[in-house]
Amino acid sequence: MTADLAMMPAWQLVKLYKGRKASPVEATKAAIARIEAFNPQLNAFQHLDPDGALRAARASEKRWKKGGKRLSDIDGVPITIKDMVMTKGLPTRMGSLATDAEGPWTLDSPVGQHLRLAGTVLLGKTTSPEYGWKGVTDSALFGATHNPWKIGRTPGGSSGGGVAAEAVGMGNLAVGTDGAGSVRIPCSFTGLFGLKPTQARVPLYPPSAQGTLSHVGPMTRTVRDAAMMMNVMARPDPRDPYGRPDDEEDYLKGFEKGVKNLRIAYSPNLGFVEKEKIDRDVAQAVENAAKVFRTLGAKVVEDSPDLMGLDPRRILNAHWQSNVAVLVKTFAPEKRALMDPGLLKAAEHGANLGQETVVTAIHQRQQVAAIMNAFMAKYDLLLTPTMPMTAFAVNENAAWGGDGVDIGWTPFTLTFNLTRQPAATIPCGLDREGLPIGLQIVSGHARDALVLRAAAAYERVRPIPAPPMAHQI
Amino acid sequence: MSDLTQLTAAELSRLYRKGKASPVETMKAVLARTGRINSEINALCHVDIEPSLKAARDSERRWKKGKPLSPIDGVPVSIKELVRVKGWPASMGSKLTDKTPADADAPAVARLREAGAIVFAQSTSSEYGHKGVTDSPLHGITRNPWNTERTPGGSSGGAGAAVAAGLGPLAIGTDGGGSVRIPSSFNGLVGIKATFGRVPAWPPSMTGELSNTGPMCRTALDCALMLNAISQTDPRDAYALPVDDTNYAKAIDGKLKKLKVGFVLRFGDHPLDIEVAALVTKAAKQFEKLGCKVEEVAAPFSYADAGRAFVIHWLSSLQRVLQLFPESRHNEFDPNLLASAKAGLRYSLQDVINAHVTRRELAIAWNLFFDKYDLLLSPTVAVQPFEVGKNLPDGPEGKANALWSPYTSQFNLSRHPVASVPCGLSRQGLPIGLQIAAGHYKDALVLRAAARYAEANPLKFPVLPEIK
Repeated sequence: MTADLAMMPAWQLVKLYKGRKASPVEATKAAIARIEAFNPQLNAFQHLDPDGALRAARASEKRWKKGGKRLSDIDGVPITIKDMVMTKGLPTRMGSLATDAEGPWTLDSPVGQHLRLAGTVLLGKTTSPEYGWKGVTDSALFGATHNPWKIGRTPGGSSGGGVAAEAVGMGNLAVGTDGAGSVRIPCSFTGLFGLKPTQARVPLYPPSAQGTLSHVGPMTRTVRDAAMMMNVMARPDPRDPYGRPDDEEDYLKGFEKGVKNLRIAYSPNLGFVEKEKIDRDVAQAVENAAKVFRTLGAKVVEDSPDLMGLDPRRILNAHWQSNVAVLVKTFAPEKRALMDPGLLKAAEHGANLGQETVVTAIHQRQQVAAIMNAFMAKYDLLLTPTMPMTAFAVNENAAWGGDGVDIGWTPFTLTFNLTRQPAATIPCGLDREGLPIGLQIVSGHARDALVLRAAAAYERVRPIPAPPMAHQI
Repeated sequence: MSDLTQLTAAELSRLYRKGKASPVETMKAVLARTGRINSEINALCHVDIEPSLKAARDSERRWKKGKPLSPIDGVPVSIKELVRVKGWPASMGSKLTDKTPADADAPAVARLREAGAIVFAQSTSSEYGHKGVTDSPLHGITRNPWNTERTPGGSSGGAGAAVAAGLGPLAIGTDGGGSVRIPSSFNGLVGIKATFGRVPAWPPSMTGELSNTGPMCRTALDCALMLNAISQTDPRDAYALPVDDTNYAKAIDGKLKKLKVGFVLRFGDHPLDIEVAALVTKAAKQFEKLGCKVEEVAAPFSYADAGRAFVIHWLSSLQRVLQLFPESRHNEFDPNLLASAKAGLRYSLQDVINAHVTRRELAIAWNLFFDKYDLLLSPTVAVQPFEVGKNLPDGPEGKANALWSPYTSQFNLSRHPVASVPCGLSRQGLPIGLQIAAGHYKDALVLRAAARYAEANPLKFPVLPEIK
């Protein structure tokens, strides 16, 4: 029974709470049991707080017993939050030895606050590479995090701890951050659903060093769970200077309407990714997924935006490298010496870019965004691969043997950090080694609910499988 | 019959509806007045006579059938030369720009045409809108109709001078650091820089996320009528906000009772004209009479840090003009633009990124201010309209005053909605503006406050003399 609670979708779990067939304390204990079983191999947590979690679970249990006085639809659900998101009372180290280990941890980010006020049970903080700098998850602070589908492979990153935890039931929900793909890369590599919402749809504070590239989003085993998280997280906070109008959107409204007659563009390479860089199993799985949407009644056509020679990879590299160049300079030299050599190399690269290059890149970002806006005006949704490849070996800084300074190995995800459009990933099959492949689903600004609705339609015919490890308890 | 050139769009609309005036009569009156006085103020750099009269006749037919496209159907509107109009060159006040007629309307222009407004003329700007006064190598000096020895401000100075002089009651300006609000203040108009993204723009501006397209009119209601059209979404703007279906003309109705108002007289250690200070302080007190609770408070963010962040954003963006044209032609730029662009090149990458970081911190500080106060009141500009032909007014001790517009640019950085509304005339008879700002997306509240204040304290708008 406890094992089932840990792997149970949050929306089913709260139904059991409601019917008094399970309690938040039982669910929390189930999650903790799984942490004890799996975390030694996976190394998904930067900090664990079982006592605090049980306290929160007991408080939630009281609310459920009173009948109906719950704080939200996910009251009492065990959750994990990435080490890049500030949480009152729990350490936030940004995956870095250079940050203060002592605290005090007095600041709650908007997400931390909203999830606390919603009554969720925070199990701990999940691993991230230093300042989320790369698309894999290892750091000098805690070592490497592994992929539950295959030990020795990376779960991707930078929200790699969150997905490793989520995939095997070390928590029912997970929060990640995404500056170039850091929610979608690891969800793709570990077979989860993940949403990078429209920029600032989920408020962010303190501001990220990556500015408007940075997003916070849900990482879940079912699409409905992500919608329930959005209902809690996507609420305004005056501390986010980019906060969007409060539309009080209910992300579950119209959730089951399907995709019939929706106009969908299927783009195998997003108009700029070299075909030979896309793994053949990935290309095939994504093409098959596009066909599934057609059978669901959508009007799917193959079409790609014309980016007029602009390369989103170069534009994003200039942005994030220059941002980290300034970030690392905020640390004293002795602290900087503790930082990931790869991050320092990227920062050095950024420092040498030249102001003109960066100002031009900022302008080109607008141009790409305008092109993608016009493209998405023709379609309700866009389908692409999430990643060109599946999970590779741990302790590499990037795919294809790269050093991570060039983030261009995740071209499909980073484009939508530039454009700020909502983009999700949903598993669409396994490759020849049995590793998950992700389908990226994109829509126009503020159409996050439509992305969720389309993903839910796909999920109904292609349910998301758990990794074999999750059954080995 | 009243002088149609001196009426607001709302007044014209009422007359059209009742059949007491027609778009053709208005268009002819505006064109006639333009012919008489534009050469004195140099507000309009291109006037489309025949197409405008044809558009007026089309509008007249719609009103006769009782089927106007919108309340501003048949109302003449001028467009700043930084904004694309199909068939006109996007001249940017520059000798260097390609003068091939544009092949598409900017979003605001397209929406105004769809609403039936008559896009009749192009108004002057400083070159690329780079400075807060209006003279350019292409079109020379634009003058303030309240006193032609004074500047109308800028960079939307042509728009401000045109509306004040009765050359069309509506104008489109752009605002990257105050360029709608400064000329609105200097010409006795209501102008609003809406929340960033509320008014879609295209193509992307050189100054990126600082730039906004906005209405400049004689009343808040006219601004609201324009916003109803130009706030509609356009897929060409990647920052466009979702359409919220606000009817601004309706949303500006209602009292201001119980609003909390923060009044900030100074943003920092900058010169402030004594008459501006007195008139704006008086205006802030008037808000008590309108039912608000007014508190005089300090600005929430370091003026020096904000100013530096803005200047770095601004100048580093302007350096792109150097890339657009061959060096051999750089001597054709306004020397001030060339110097600004070159100064922009000298900032380091670290300076630029730090300015982005400061921008976020500043925006948060104002966000928290607006969490506490419904409205901010301040002067719009720290000086009165100054002599034409100068880039900067004289400051204390005979030095040029580089800090003459300390109030406007912070809201380009922070993206908040902000308007200027006239709050009186100086002893020399020059208009002074009150700046009103609010939290993100509260554009209607800003206009409502401007409307209630202006109703209670109307500016006597003179029919400006037709100078010979």
